[in-house]
Amino acid sequence: MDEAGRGPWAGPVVAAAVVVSRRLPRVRIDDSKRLTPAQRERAYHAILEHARVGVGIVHAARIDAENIRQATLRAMEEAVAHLARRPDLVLVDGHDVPSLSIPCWPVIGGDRLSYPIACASIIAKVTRDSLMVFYHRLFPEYRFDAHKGYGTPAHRDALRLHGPSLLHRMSFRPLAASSS
Amino acid sequence: MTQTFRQARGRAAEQMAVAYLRREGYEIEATNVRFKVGELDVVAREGETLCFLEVRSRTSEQFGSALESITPMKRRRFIRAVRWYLARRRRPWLGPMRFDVVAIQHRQGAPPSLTLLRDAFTADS
Repeated sequence: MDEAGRGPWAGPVVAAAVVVSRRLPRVRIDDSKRLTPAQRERAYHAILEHARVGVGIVHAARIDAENIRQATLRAMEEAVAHLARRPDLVLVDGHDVPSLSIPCWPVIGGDRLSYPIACASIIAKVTRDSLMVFYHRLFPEYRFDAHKGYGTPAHRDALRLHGPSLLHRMSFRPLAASSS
Repeated sequence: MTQTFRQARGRAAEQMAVAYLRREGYEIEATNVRFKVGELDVVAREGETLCFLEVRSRTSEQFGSALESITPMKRRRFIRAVRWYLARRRRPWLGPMRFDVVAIQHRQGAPPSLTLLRDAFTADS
């Protein structure tokens, strides 16, 4: 299991849980950050075809209401709940794990070390990115398609010009500062 | 509640051990019992025997390291906790008892392997 979108100023945090029974042929699987977008896309479809996948999504309003850590853990719980079959053990990227009745084993640097965690990082990343591309059509002024909600100079300029949208995490520093 | 990395791993190890013990036919009586004097990871019955279990998990490759990580000091704490547990048990236990160890060995790129050592040590050692 892995997550995407802990850091950005806008959009949801997405967690993915993947159960792979064997290595996938002819696709490169690695930490999603170490693949090119094209490789990620290819891997994404291969994983969906050959593995069991659960996804959890927690939106910006909930991130503001709780905090990013709780929201991320909630997304992870959801991802595991959406798996068709309950696994015996969950390997979680990072040092923080949700409290489930299934043992959750934290693996620091897991997206590089563990094949299933790498798969999960790809599912989470591609799912989140495509959501942000979709949101771009609702709020074209922010260019979510380009930066996916992350803090870039262009995103900062758009915020200055248009103010925050429904999708922005008002509890995050650049936004909290501008609204007060 | 904020848990540290080590606590998270300890909890996961314990959950794995409990699931494994159930498959082995143990009846779980209590988990994670804490006293000031020490703590017990799992208390369970196997047949007529009351078993006190210590769960050790290790990521290093050397065999036996999980067992060796129980130092005399830890063993003393463990036995003190056992006395407390027996003193506080709702019905006094008159049957046989045993100390077991579940060693969980984590290897990179493979599922963790669990080893159950029945009667791993005694109260006087």
